[in-house]
Amino acid sequence: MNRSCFRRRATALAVVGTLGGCAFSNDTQVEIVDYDGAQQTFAFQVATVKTFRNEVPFGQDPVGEPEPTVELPYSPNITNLKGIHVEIRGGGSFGSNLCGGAGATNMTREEFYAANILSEPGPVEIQYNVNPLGVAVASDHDSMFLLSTYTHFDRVRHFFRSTLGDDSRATTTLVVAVFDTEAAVGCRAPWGGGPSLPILIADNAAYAGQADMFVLLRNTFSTATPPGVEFGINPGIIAHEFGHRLFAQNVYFSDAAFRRLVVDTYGSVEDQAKQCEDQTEDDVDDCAISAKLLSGMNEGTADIFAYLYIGTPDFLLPFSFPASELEQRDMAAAPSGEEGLHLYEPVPLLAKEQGWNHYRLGTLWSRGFRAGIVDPRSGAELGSNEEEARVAAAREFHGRALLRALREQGEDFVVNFRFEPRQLVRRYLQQLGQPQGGITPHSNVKSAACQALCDRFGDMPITPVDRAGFPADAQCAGFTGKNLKTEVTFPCTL
Amino acid sequence: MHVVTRVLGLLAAGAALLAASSVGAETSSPRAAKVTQQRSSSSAEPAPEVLTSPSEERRPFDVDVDLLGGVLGIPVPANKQLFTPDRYVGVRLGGRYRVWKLRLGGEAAARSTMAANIGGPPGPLAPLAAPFSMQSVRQSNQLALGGIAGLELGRMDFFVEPFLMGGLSTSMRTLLYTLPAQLPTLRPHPTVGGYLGAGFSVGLRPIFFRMDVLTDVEVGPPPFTTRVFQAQYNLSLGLRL
Repeated sequence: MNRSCFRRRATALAVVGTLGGCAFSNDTQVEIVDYDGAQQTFAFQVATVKTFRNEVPFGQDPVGEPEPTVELPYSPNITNLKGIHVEIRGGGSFGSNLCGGAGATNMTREEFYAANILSEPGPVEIQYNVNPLGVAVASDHDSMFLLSTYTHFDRVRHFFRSTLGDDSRATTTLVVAVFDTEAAVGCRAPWGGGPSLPILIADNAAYAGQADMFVLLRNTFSTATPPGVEFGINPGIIAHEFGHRLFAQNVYFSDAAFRRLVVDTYGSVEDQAKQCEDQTEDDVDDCAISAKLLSGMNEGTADIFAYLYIGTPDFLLPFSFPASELEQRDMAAAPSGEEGLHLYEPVPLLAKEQGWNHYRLGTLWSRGFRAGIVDPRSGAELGSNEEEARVAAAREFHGRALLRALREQGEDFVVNFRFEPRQLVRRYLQQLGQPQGGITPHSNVKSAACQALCDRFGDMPITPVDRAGFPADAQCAGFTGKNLKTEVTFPCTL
Repeated sequence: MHVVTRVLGLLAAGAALLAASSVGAETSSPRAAKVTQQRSSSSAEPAPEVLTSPSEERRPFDVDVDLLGGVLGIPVPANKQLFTPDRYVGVRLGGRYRVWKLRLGGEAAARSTMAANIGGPPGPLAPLAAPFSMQSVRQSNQLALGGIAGLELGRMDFFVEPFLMGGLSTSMRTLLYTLPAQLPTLRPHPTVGGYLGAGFSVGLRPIFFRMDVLTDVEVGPPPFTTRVFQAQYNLSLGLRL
């Protein structure tokens, strides 16, 4: 907020009890919780936000770069946290259609509302004071949380738009994040309407691809998270969740072709979700296993994007996560730590043959990505003490290649919705051989990535799952889906 | 809602006492006294003694002091259906003049909420929440000054006094955050506003019990974006001196 203008208004208010016409710039200073890189901890910091809008319908706002200049009247619309690119909402619920698998990802937010699977979150109303320096300071905890969340999402979106050059809907459509909501699961009932068995009400953050919404929950029951920065104000976690949006919007919605294919094939997105559960369909296992493997690569991709944004291999996860889980996610963990990464480890709680611990697959992918980063121009390898240079190289080149690979993967799905992790790896390696962001890569760029990824994927031992009636064969890396695309020639056998 | 139901119940009880008291009041009115006197003279019997409170006759001006406790509800920014409850204790001092059966006066109150961790879930889940390693603690102190208009009913030293109240208030809400590896951060937020409420007192002099419900609206300094809509439920025990 413009400080001098604020003072003039305060004076005017005191003298004549009215507010005059004083135009403010669109720079609004807010106090948020943010990571202090110098102190290596979280602290209150003043941030400048340029994107609060004042009752301008979203469709009328420019979404490209550079950021638009908006002249705001006296009080920018901070109260409801509606911005040009980001909007924070509260309450309501979102649903995960257990019948859906990956197909549920194709339901839009509007479709979920129409199906009564979601109840629409409402506007928030934060409280804040403006201190003598013109900084908006939240006057209760939730307001501080929401203001911080807004700012982090705004920054994250801007980063992926401007630094990595993403042009998908992930960075060109409104980012909606919902606080204090409720996650429920179930199937759409025959008589209409949705689930709702609440299963997730606290201690997490998520991207609900079905609804294209970010979900931020309170820290409630978790005591094992020292020092326990709340998920929704940890920029590393927000960047991870935003990575899921990048993944979904680039893979599924690049030109909506995949969505159209699903509708053409199955009649509607809801029916497609049903097909995935229908054991009489030929492609049941393809669908389910593809979805699970895709989820694993999705998690790894989100970790990669968080790494690119934060710049550290743990992307600030230790500030919010129990230490016991960190060794599975930290990209800089010793290679020996990967020995415990059983790709297809069953998760007993899910008790379905497609229920695997897909996060471990994601960690293989993210570690391989990081380990394969070299200087894109010279091809020089980067040592363990050159993290800053590694991150810079990845932001300049490898991240862009990954975004393009996701697009290519989406196009592959238009041809055939069958997934095996090495499909995405292959697309990524292909993109590393192409110019990205005006840089023609050194030949060692692809070679280094090939080596790192083939170390993890090319010769990966796969333990077939012993399921009666489904003998293991070579399809889908040991799985038995009847229609799985067989990767007979993996292009990276160094 | 439970508290409101109780308040309504007690108000109903007050109304019943009001009806009972009206009979007594009629008996003690001048007209009634005259009729009584006429009857007395005609029957040559002594006039009955009118039952009035000796305390009332002695005290046209009362001083009330009471200790109060209650719950202060503050809306949740992310969900307008929810409130976070802050328990508080306080003290109130007031004076009242009797004008006919009205008790008119003023009173001042000071309330302090207990420091409460507000990062957790509101509503029924609140008691289940674990202590956080990232603490957000809220504590607020309020001073209120206002007027009160009551209608005192009763017999002897027993009284029931439904009343309306209103006035000005100012609060200082202080937030304490403990972030990782950092000293606690304090953020004070002053607000000013007013309140309106209703309730009743019931007691046997000099002791009384008081219950009231009030809405307190306060705003922070310009641009007035801190808006505190408080619903307060007070229960107090006091002395009428």
